[in-house]
Amino acid sequence: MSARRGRGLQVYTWILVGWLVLPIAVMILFGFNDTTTRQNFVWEGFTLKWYARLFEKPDLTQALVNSLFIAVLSTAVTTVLGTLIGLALGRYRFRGKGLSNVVLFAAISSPELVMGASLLSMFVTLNVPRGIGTVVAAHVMFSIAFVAVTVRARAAGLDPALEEAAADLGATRWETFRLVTLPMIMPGVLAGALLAFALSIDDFVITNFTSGTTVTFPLWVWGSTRTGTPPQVNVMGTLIFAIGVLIAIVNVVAARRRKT
Amino acid sequence: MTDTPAIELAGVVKEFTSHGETVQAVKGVDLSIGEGEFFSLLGPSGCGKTTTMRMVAGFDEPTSGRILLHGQDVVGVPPNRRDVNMVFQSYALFPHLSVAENVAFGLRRRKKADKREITRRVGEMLEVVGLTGRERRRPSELSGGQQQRVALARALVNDPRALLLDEPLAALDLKLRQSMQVELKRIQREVGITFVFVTHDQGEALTLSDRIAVMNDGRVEQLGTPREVYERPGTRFVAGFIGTSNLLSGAVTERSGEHAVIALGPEERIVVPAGAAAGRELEVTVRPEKIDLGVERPPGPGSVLRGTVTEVIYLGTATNYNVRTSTGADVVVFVQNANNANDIAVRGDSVWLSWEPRHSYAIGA
Repeated sequence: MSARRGRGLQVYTWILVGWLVLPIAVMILFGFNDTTTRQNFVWEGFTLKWYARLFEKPDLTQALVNSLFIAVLSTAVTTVLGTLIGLALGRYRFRGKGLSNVVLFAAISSPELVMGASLLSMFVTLNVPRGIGTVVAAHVMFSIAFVAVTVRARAAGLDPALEEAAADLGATRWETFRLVTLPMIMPGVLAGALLAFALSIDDFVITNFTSGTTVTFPLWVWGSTRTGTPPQVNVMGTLIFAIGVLIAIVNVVAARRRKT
Repeated sequence: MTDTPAIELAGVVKEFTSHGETVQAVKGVDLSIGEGEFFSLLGPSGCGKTTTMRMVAGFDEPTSGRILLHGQDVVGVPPNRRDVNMVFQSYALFPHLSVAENVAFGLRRRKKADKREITRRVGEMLEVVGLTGRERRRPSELSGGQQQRVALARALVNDPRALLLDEPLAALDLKLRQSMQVELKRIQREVGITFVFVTHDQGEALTLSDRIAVMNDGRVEQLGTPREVYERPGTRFVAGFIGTSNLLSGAVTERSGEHAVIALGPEERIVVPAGAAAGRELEVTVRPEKIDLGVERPPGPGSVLRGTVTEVIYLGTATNYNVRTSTGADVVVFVQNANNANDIAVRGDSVWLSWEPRHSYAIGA
């Protein structure tokens, strides 16, 4: 009975893993496809030439650079501001706290299409030239809530006596933050930063509304689908995925080492 | 003891406002705690003892009144610049730092010592609390009792003018609590620092303290040595809160030398060493262990009451007898199981209670 149930659970687990991994596997596989046409849908043999010719298309390379720049900058800004919001909401009681929570929730739950369209009309109305600047501002805007929420959860679970103990032992407010509060909420800050980066680097909808003539990686890929997506796109996707996996592995190893 | 008290509170009041309502948590406390004293603030939860301590540490500021540390008014001085250290109820050890780093935290902040000196003093303090060899452990890897010792070491290593302890033993189990009580007393003697100990556990306060301030409803009800507070309770509250206490009352009928006598019949009386004149109503307490219990009416000039045993509770080293007196009061009598192989009385027996005049204590007289 229990053995059969165990088997069933195993099968289910593997189906689920397959479901999640299969699209990624296809992407990786077609980065090695020795395709001769403009389309990259039919397997024609194994090659490594796309890796060698990764930066052959200057506009694609520029789009990737733009995306990375936007992601790094918006993540940095979002992490700092979001952490401060999360700390305030998790640690203190103040007037307008309820409203702030509602606004955060609204930012997370409102449809991207609505946000993108309203951002565009706002930028147009205010006569702000669209470009990397507006994209970064938009990305900070929609990802700040995710950082704030993860940090808030961490900060709310903090024993208030910890900060009092630090002050009692002679730490100034800044030292208390740097030596006690920040290390304690760090897991929340890192999780929020990773979320912000992931949201930014592959955002299409809001970016499309706010980018003006600037092209990011997702926008370039979308544009290329009409004429045929070159295998370099698969290679870049593969590399981004590989970096993500690497970070995850480092994180797991570090956590395990901390435990022993 | 030097002339300047380590800690002085004068007319300290603390009000909290929540939902537009002002609540007085501390309603005017005056205290003077001597150098090197082991001082306890004892009271039920909500009596203001923790708030009082937090004001000394600097986490709360008094609404009015003065707080002096070694003669210096510290109201308005932030906690990081007050020369007192606190042991928190939750210990509040920094979970991301090792034991040694936790203990060194204060020394590093105050920049009083160089690296070598810090290492040496941390090592010494860990030796005092018996944690040598655990320097590199994380707090989460230690038992509750060990964490408690780290918290103590972390505070004491700074050589504060006074150490504040907020219910530090509450989270420990009974056995550990008892051994930590002995430890605390030893450590306090060794380092010679003023200890201010907040507790709701009267046994703990009696065991450890040089002096106790019994607090209730934001005020100090009584201040005295453990013996004074136990044997001469100043108020009804103190009599009830500390130990078991038998409360009897009646009007003084006559005077006999130094004593007031409350006659409750031809053979029964309560004799109290008090100056009250005839006719005055008195509330008298007598501790359970001071009362003799017998089947025959004892001679002598002391208090004598007659009653019926309603319950006999065997406690191992002693037996508790609950007795309903002829006046209707319930009295607990505590009899050591020393030589009496058999019980003196069983449930339903008619007995005589007696005690010497000096064991009666008139509250507020």
